[in-house]
Amino acid sequence: MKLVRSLVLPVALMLAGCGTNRDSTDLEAPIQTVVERFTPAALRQPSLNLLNTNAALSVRAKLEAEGRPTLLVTHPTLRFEGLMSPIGQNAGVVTWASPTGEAVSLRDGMVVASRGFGPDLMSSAGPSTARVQTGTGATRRSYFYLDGADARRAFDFDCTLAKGASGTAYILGKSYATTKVTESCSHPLGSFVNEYWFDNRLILRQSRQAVTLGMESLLVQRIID
Amino acid sequence: MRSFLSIRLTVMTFWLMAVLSLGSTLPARAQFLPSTNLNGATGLIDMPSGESQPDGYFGLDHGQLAAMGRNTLSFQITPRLSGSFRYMALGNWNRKSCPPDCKGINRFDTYYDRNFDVRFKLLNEGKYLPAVTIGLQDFIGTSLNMAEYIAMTKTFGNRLKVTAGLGFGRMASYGAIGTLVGPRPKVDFGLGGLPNVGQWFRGQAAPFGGIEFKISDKLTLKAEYSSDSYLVESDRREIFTHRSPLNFGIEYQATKALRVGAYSMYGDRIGFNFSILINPALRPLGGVRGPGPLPVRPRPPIAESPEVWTTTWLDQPDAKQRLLDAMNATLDKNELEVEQISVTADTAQVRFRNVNYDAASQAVGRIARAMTHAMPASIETFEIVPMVYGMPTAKVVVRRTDMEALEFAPDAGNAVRARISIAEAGRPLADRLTNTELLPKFKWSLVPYVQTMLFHPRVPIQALYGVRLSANLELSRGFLISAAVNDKWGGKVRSRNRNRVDSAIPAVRSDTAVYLDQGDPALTVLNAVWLGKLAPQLYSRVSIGYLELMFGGIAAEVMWKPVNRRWAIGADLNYVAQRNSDGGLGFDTYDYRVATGFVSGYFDLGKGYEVQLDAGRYLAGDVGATFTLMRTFANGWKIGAFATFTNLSAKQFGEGSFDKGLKFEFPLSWFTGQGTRTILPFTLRPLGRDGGARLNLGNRLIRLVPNYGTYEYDRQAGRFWK
Repeated sequence: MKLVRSLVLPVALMLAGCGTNRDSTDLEAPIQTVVERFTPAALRQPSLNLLNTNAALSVRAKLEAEGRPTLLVTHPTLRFEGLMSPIGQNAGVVTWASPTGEAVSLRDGMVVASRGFGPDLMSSAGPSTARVQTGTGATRRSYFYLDGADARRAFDFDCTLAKGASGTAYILGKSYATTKVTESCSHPLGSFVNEYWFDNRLILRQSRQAVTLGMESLLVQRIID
Repeated sequence: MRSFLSIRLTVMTFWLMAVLSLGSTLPARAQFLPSTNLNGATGLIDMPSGESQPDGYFGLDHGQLAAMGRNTLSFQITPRLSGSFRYMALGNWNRKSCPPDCKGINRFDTYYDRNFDVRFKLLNEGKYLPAVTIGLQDFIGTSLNMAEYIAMTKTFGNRLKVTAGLGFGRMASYGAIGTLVGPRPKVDFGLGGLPNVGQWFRGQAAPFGGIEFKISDKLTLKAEYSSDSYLVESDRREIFTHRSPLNFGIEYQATKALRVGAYSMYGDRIGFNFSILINPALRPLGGVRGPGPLPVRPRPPIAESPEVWTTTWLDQPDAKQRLLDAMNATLDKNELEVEQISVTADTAQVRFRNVNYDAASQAVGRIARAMTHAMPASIETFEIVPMVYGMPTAKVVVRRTDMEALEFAPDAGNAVRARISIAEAGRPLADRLTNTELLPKFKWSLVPYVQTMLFHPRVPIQALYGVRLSANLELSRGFLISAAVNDKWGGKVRSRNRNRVDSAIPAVRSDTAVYLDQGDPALTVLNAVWLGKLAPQLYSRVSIGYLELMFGGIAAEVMWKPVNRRWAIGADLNYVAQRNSDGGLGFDTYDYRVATGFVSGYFDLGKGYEVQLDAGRYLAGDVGATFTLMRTFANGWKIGAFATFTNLSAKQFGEGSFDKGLKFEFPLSWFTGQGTRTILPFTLRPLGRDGGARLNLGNRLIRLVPNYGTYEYDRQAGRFWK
């Protein structure tokens, strides 16, 4: 019997936590979490933002051949970087999603919601892209979240727009002449700065927008229009 | 089956997850938060303070002084009331006395003791007034550590706290200044388990006090004058030597939840403290992570596309099948399963099973969004009915126009909740189609298990380990067959030799260790279960077979749970026979049969408190009632306590006098941040005996049904758009 068990042991350990019963105690999720947390960055997929020009242009060419509008979205704090394509549109808001389920909803380039990241921006109100483009004056933003108890949390920010210098934005091997606008927002509990880069066609080509308070801003880069 | 401790997760997994969760459970701002002492109580080094922890916080502490270790679970039950359970190990206990005297209590090399504490904050700290707390330490049973105190703490600026207090009992064993109330009688704890009210705040009183100075966000210095002389541990047992009443130390806040300290203790030894403080209410990783939902698909305006809005689709013979296929195509069957659809020209009802979402609102929201893709434009009203083993539990009604209009509205969660109605499930619409591919359904799992028994006087932690193969075959709606087999690979448990004190009381639980040890392999469960609804809001269950490791028979239950009420009423009736301890099919070893039954009331008191009262006949034939109070959190955490009082006398019951314990439910999603409905239950009984024992049944209605009531839904209503 002991011999049988010693033979069965390795197989059973491999199977441990297996099954189709989702209600049972299983260790798959925690193990996956551990693996994700402790996987060295070097072993992850190389960042598209760090590719050399030739490699980046090669990726861009493939995306252009596919012909779908594409965003490159980076959440530095959550160590997420992914290409996103549109999966729906409602009331002027386009929802873009990655193959792994992360999603951002943009109204003319402005982030209004996120999903799939965990600490998501559930809904928001803020200035239009045209208003931001002016680069002057005051705006107001309202962000709505769920906290760790799934209770609603609302934050209102008073913001100030300012024009930045013209420059060049490099996005996946291609350079764009851009004009920068910053939006400095404050709240008694904290502050953040959104950055917007508009290209010559006044398309919001690249932006860093606060999505999850207390975390680094979401980098949204428009690759294929 | 679980007379001392029920644990379905491995201890290692729990600690792994606990450690993973460290880091973001406390407020982000650097505050001078209350810390804990070596007893796991809010306090200085060995003495308590006048402060309390934030409401709902849960603490795990290990304090070590010489060969004395203290492991404490603490919980801030309300903003003012907190409680602790402590398990102490006093090493070198008989070093001085054995030999020659190795009898009685001196036979133990290490003496283990259990303590219960309770504290109440009388006064919150104000601009001029200190925080004031009154506390009882080790106030039940043998009371080796019994003490009472009143302590005051005042914070000066952001860096200095000063504490002063007055102790009684053990905390008046050094530097007593006199008697306030009268002499303190000697403790006659009898069989233990009962509060020693006659001693409280009596006898000598002694002052204690100290200071805490925060030198940085991470480091705090502490100094105290202790009124505990450690009379037993120092003078009688010589575990260490009490040379001075002064203690000094430094504490390091390693993360927001983890704190460690080192101290010079009583002029003799270095003491250590390791403290984890968790806020169950807030997931450390924020919201639950998982693939985002399909967005709402809005309908084109009727003026632009009138052909889309026609109801001619109703005339198609396969219309419902196409709608069902369309729903299934948009849903992940590992998360949501459509059981039935029914339609009219303007209304669609979807009955579904929630496989994976821990929040009812999230499951409903995902179904609603899928319906915007699958349902013809003429359908304006979505009726969404969560099903549990074929039982419809509620009906959530959502207007499609609201879905389209509010998806990206500011504060969309509140906005849509205001338009949603939740009611009794009722009947499906007339024209319906059941998903025939859903049943029969076979699910299985093979997982490692660890079965532990705690608090044996010589081996306080005993464990068995092995693998558990479970299978569940749902043959038709509400009819399922469940089976589970444990195959033990190692470990050993032994029962307390004093577990069974009265041979007239049937050994319904005191042989648990025998069952665990001899059942190899053990058929723990093999039963058939019928679940159904007898009337609107009246649910039923019948289970027949090997119901649990120690009993088999028939168990029937009914429960009335109105959707829009905070309460439920239930009753169960069971006729069972005690199984053989070898884990096989026989019933002849014990030759014991019993009818048990209870009337149960479940009350949601609001603000996160739930009460359950079960009155009836227990497994040993004793009659009485169990009172359970749980603190609940929206994300699934539950922490509480229970006590059972029956017509067995304390002498008949044995050590502990009556059945009592602590109950915990840990949602796995809290630790991992991933969506899962897995709950890890954990029951801690200081002493498990035969009195007040109930069947350990799966599929109790109270665990299946209420998740979809209005109040339960509203705890996580914001997850609708998640």
